[in-house]
Amino acid sequence: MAKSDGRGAPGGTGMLLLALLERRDMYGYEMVEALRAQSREIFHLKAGTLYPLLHTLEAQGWVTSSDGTVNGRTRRTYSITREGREALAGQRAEWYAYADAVRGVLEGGDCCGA
Amino acid sequence: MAREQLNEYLEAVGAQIRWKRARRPLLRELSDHIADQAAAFEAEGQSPGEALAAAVAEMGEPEAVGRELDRLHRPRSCWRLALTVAVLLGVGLTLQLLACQVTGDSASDYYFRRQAVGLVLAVGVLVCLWFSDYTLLFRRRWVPTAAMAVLCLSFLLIPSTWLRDWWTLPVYYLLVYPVLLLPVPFAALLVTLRGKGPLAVLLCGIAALALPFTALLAPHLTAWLVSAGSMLVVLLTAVRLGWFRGKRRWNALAALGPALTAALGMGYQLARSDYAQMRMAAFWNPALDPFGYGWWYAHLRAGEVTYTSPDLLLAEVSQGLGRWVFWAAAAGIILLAALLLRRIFRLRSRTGKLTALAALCPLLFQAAIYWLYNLGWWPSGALSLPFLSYGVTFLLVDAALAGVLLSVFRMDALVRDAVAASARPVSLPEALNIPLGRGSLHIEYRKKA
Repeated sequence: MAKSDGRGAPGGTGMLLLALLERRDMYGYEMVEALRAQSREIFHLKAGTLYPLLHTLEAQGWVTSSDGTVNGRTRRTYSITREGREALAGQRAEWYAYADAVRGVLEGGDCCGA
Repeated sequence: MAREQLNEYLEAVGAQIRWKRARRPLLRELSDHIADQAAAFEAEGQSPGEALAAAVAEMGEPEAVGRELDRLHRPRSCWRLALTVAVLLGVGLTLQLLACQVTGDSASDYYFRRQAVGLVLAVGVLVCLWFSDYTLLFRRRWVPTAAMAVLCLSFLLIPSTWLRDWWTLPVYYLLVYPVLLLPVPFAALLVTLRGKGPLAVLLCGIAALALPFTALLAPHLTAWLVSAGSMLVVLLTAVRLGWFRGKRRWNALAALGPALTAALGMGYQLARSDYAQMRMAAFWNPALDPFGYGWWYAHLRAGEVTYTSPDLLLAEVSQGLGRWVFWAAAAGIILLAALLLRRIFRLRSRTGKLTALAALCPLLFQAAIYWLYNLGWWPSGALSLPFLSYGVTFLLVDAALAGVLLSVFRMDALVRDAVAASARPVSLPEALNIPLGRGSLHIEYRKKA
């Protein structure tokens, strides 16, 4: 199961970015907007946080980027790699397990017999 | 006012980024983001000035962003590879010095001094290319073609009266050595052809065979094989990496088709040539031709060196120290090749991978052929044992290839592949952006009868 390397890479926000890129390739601004819209205005990611995070994911080989030209302006588009999909699958499983555990506690789930 | 805020923000970020080459692409990405954000604010009804100021304010604290980007974008100088090249150069020069001391003649002394001067020049070439920006090769579409034209046609600069004598030294130099550098601009040409179809691959396959034609004029079959083989490896790698449009299988066939056709044609010609048959018969069975070409192969295979030559460094050292020298050299070549290939395929961009491979292949092929030649198992001539064997021009060519390789490694954090026009990602239209939530979408399809 893929885990964060403790250098500020994936885990929380990194996982969300990978999930966005799993659906389609995006450029930076699109990701900020998609994250805001899909989180129902909860996540407002600053661009100053976004790019170092994207470049960290790129250094880990989980995303790649390529430069294209749109309306005369160079635009860098990010794509998820096969390793990135595998890492996302691992992080997603970890997250669901964690969320289930928290829900179990909050909702007073089955007693462990103590 | 808002424009000043934008400039101040970018300057503050840039001031934190120590690697000068990294500043421009990183700040460009941030300024593109600000432009997108400002356009969105304008669409919401803000004035252009207000929109730009608000977009800059959205970016966050510039010093923190700059520090983080600086940490992530440092040049990778790859000192271990540079050190390996330096050690090989040092060993090569020491071997020349030993030869000079053993023989004690003026010729050896002259060759040692010549090699020492060549080493200084080679180090200069290597360092200049190492710290240069190799992306200059493919920023303009005409640059790779111009570079290949210069390398292929430089011999035309020589006075026409000299050209009648192919074997004169300056002519020979310009016919043989530049072709070893050809794979690098060829890789740059492939970089500019991203997204093209099988016809482009086929033309590149033909170009890989045709471009080193000057080596065949020399004639130096091995130089042609090294250059053409390196370019074909780079082309096939590009196909494998999905650089071209269309099915990879067909593209691979288009890349190899011209080479296979040429191999069949050459095989047919060789079969009809009495001279070629005699050479090949002597190569496969030296005993049949003990006083002609067979003599050469028989002696090398028995580990006997009857005269000194820059092409026989391994055989000479092996004669003095034992046959283990060959196996140690083979292990060294394979180890270096494996380490460098692993490093190359870990590069972020396919552009970097192709360029690095174009610089590495001629070095590896030269080393492998030199090894086989010294064992008596290479039917044509040898080139050099990179950085070790004698030869000033070889030193310069091999140092240039190593310099390109180091430059690719150094700039890895900055180089990105350009998006092909036909491969540009297309945004999903809003109408197709179906909010599925936790539901599911069932798609029925029927197989065509």
